[in-house]
Amino acid sequence: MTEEMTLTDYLARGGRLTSPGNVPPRYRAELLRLMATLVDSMLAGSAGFADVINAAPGITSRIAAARIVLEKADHAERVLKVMAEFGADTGRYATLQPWAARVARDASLGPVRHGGDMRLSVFHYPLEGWADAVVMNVLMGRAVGVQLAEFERASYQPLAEVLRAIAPRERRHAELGETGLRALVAAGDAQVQPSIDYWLPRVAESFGAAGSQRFEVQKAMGLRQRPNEVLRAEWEREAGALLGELGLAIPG
Amino acid sequence: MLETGGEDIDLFTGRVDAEKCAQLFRLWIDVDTADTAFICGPEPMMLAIAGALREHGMSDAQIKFELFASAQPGRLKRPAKSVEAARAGNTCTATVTLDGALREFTLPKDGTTLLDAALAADIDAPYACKAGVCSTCRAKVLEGEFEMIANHALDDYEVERGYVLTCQCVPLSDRLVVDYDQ
Repeated sequence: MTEEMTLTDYLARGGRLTSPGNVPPRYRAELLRLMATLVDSMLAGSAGFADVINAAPGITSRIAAARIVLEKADHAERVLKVMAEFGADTGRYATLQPWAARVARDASLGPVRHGGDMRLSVFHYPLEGWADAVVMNVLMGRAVGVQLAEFERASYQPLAEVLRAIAPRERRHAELGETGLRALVAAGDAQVQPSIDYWLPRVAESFGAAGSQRFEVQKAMGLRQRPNEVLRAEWEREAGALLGELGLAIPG
Repeated sequence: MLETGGEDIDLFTGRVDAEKCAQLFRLWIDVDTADTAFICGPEPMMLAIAGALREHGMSDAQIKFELFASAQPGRLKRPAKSVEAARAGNTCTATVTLDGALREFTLPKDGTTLLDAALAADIDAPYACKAGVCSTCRAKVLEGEFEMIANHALDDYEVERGYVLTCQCVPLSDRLVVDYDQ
């Protein structure tokens, strides 16, 4: 930094960092943590959805599920490439964890790290059949939209650029899910409401705890802007409106 | 024009600020038709120009910063060796600096990694993969001897400068001084 401005001031005022060479150590660590969470969640999400392809009720839905599996893996790879610029070994990283592994359906993890990777806790729970996968994809799809909008403004420019590039495709994944959900609702599928009751609190947990210390650290570095509880409330409004429109109940 | 008379015109001399941006956007540059802006220069100037561009309707995605400042300290000292002070006991006293705070704890020399011991001591040390692959847990050893079990992330020059993957760092000496802030 130049003498007239500290890095903290620069970042607090919306400055951007542009390469590993101008990133200070503590920023580096927080940025890598953040990227690991994104990569691990995308890889686990993709791996978990792979089994769903064979549960799809038709060719169009099969293609939609396959596309989601493909593109989420591609998005993980793009963020991993940004990590690689800091030295991460992408080849080893991609096979480091059993990304398809899941806990028991009735396990209760809470919003904390579990197992060897950094995936959001929601990606540790197993999908059970087509309707269940569609519901999870719809609820998490809206959450990803809110979370990506937040991280797209991150002060590390190369990451922000990758996230802006993948955002439209992630949005499309959520839309594919909503198309599937409307079809299930129209057909009176009995699994839809129990799946919403199951997934809604687990997706809500993916926003992290309110009053998070981690958020304050990330905010000071310009990696985050809005606190967990604000993002979560925005998602709750969006998801609530959609479920209401479809005549589905929101679990208390 | 800039070559011949530019120096006499205030708009073209000195640092570009919000006021000059306003004049430039009024007289010289049509922001509405620009796809992308690339900003390079001192940090306050980049911020002022980015702010002016946003006010004139450009999105964050269209504004590219090019930052040349380096956050790495110039010449890094080699880690101090304390070989003779080492190897006596079965425990190591570790001193860890994180966010400017100094913490001390002991760990057994039984293969326990520095990261695990730091986490057990309630230090919010950074990490992600814990397999020597991602480099999130990188820190600098200022004093003491250690073994790095695996390293799939640090370059040779980083290791030479004393950097270590703390998830793979097993102490050999009785004392280890490590800094996450460097």
